[in-house]
Amino acid sequence: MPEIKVTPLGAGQDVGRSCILVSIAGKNVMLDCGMHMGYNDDRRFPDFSYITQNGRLTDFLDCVIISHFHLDHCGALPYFSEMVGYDGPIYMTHPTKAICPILLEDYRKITVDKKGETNFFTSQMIKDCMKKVVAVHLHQTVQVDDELEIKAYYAGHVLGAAMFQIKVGSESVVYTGDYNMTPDRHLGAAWIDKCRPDLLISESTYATTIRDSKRCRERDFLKKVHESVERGGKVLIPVFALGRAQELCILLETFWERMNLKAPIYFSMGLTEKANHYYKLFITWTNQKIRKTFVQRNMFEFKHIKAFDRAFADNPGPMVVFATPGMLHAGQSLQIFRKWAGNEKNMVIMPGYCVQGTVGHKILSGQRKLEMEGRQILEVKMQVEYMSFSAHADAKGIMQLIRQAEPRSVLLVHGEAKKMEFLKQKIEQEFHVNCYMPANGETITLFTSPNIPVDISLGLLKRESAIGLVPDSKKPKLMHGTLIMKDNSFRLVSPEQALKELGLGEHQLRFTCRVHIQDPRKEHEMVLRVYNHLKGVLKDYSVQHLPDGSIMVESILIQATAQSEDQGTKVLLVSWTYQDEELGSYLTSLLKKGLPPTTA
Amino acid sequence: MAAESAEDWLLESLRLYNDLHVFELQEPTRVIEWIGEKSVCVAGYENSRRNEILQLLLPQKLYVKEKQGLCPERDFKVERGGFSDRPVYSLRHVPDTSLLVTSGPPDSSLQVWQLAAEDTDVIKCASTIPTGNDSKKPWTKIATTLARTPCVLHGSRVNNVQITEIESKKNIYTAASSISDEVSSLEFLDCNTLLACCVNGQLCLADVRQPQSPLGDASIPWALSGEQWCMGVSPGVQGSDVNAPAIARLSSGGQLTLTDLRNISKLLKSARCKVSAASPSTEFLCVSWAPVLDGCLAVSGFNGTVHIYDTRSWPVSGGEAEPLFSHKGHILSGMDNGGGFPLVTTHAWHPWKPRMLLSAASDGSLHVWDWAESHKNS
Repeated sequence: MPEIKVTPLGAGQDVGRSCILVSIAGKNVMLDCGMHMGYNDDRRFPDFSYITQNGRLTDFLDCVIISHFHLDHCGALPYFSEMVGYDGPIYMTHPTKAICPILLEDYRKITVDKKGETNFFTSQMIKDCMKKVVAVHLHQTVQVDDELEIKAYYAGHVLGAAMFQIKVGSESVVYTGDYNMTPDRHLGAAWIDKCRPDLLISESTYATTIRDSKRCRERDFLKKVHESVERGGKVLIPVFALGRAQELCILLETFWERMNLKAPIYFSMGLTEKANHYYKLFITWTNQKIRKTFVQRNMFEFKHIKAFDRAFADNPGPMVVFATPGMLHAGQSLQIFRKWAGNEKNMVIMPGYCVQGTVGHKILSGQRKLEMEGRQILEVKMQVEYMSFSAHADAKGIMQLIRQAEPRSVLLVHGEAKKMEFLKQKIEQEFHVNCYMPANGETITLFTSPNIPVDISLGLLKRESAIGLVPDSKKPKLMHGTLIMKDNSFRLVSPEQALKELGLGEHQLRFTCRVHIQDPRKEHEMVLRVYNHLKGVLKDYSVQHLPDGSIMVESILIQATAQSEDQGTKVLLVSWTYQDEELGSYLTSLLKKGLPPTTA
Repeated sequence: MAAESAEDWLLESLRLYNDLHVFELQEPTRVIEWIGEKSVCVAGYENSRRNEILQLLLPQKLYVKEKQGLCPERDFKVERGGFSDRPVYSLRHVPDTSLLVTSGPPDSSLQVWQLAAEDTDVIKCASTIPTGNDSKKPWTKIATTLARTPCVLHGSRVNNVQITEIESKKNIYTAASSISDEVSSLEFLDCNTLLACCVNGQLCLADVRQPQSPLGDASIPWALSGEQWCMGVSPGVQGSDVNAPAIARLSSGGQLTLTDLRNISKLLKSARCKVSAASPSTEFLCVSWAPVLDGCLAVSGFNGTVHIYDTRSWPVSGGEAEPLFSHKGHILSGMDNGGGFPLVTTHAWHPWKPRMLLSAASDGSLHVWDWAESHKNS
């Protein structure tokens, strides 16, 4: 039976380093290629040796697909393609292609320059890797080769994130990557059509959580900013990509307007330079409704938000500054941080995950004494807050996606099997599908029953539907026809049609059997006797006594002949076509048993 | 609800609340039961489909006592979940055990659930306790305690109130009473004393050590007639301030009365809630005492709000009392619920944070809120 095999090389039951191998109809696809941010050694990479012990990866894999730019989904890509060795195509959406190299380069810099690691990919490797990337649009069917095709769907989550459908013939798998089902201010919700894949692979990091509403998180953010500013403090918000920063700007602007606040809000120039580029990327990625919001509000024409100058950092009094980079590992945000860290009235709000080795990561872990260049110790007295705005699907979201796509089976990655039994049962009971939760390195094999489409001739359809009762749309209807497989096409036609096409004449095969009956009476009396006997025994069949003296059982003809040697024996001719073989034989043996004695 | 007024309320909430969390459950719940001090249980009450019972771990920030660096996540974690074929109308945890008891239509039997299991996060139904009550009677109210063994107090009418040992299913107490009035709330005051509140407002007290003892027959003061009642009992009744009244009763017309445990037939104080319309039934009426704030009550079930009253500041005349705080989040937080007006189904106080409550509504919302002390609602 055809099968689909899935092996998580990373993710599985481990958060971090998503990397999943899928085999479908002889094609091998790698889904994501992430780095595990918690490890410093080789454990941070997925175990690629699993794929093929000998033999080149390029020959084995048909393609690699990257769902979005987060490092736990693409961080190991340059290592994989340039150091392990892969030259085949790598697919991702346009924004992902634009942003990935920047994040990878940042990451490389931190790891090599800050932490002094040597076994790591180089800048050139990142560039070479990106040359292998083929960018795709949403809902665009991309032919990887003449059998394998892929299609990207909107996933929400972050700019450029996509869910991918991988299809070979009538078998398909959908991989969600990270997604979320509730829209936020600058990204819509994930959406997929009722594509009915054989398997849906979904992340389930947040499946066992119930998320606080977006508005309450925003409220928390505003409250923190407000409290700091009220007591005269300065607030630093390190940001990376435009999307999230834009959202926070709009939020602050609205709030400042409402509350009639006077403290200045700035964004740093680094942000503006990249801004136009991202803006264009971003504006084509979002939907109509969100696009309108952003067009109405021209990005940097905020009333209360102005461009930052590094000299402003020394100004007295409260202020809020958005600055890059997001993990405080270099540049402007780090400079400002150093100036403000010593004052407990100030606050830094970290917007998300920080890579190990960055100042951001250190302060989020609780470190309050940092070693800077030149052995200088920086004492951090400012308040450190963490704001998680990243959007992931929770249990409700997963159920919604499954409902939309209608897969035949579900596979969950990123979760811990023991802690997901409830979710597994919930999915299985609600949708009547199997739910799998493989560990790293564990292969799940699914057997599929692909549908083979067959063209049916109109004549056959008409004929079959004319026989019998009105067809019940919910019940399968048995039809008889001839299947013609010719030149890669399948056609179902009536036997007559098939014979005609083949240029053959239809032959009828008819059997006739002689049955001797002991009966001295006249012929027609004996026939009547036979008729009554058969009528009594064969209650489920149509038994007719025809005017010419013969008996018809269904389509089998029974006739008496006059040819017999003696008067006491009569001969019955039982005649049937090949199609009625079974009934014919049965009738014959029945008659050979003899007739019941007549009643007086 | 227009997005703009939701935004307005959110901005207002900055000064009204110290902390505010808004969650959306897949199915609405009418129970919130604490399991220890870190998690709560909620459960669905749909008639026509399978319901879920969930044990939710609070966001870390809401259960840590020492100031713990950063607690980034603001989310509930579904620690465990189970499936119930019937709607869950009442859910109680047996303290210091991993047992839950639930009740609900279509009959008066009780379901016992097992929370803890090492290798799975599924809450399993361990057993069913048949109560021998006529299934046509209203569903069973329950209360639980850990005496020598886990016990459940249950009944739908005063004359069928019993205490059953959960593991053995043995009846260890039966109310010898001729009163057939419907019960709205049942509580263990301690493991030997039980208190029942009838729908007509009557309170019945009994000592379990005298099996077959009749439930205290208290006559109904004039103030209570004509409406449907439920009660809330002060949690630290034994050993608490002797002067503090311990039993609050709430009527469907919005009447609140306070009664001292030592003399349950006497009304100590009463007031009327500030509600615009009477509740048609006691279905979701809920009144409870604050565990920390002296003399404070929370009231809900009339509409989409939860009111906090300070009983110490009630007018002597017994007229309308002004709430100390009114939580309007279920109406104003802008959840997309198809335009209906949600009804608060239940609420519960946080065990040690003075002004924090959890409240749930008929649209599936679940809020955790901590109102700011110095600010009163306009």
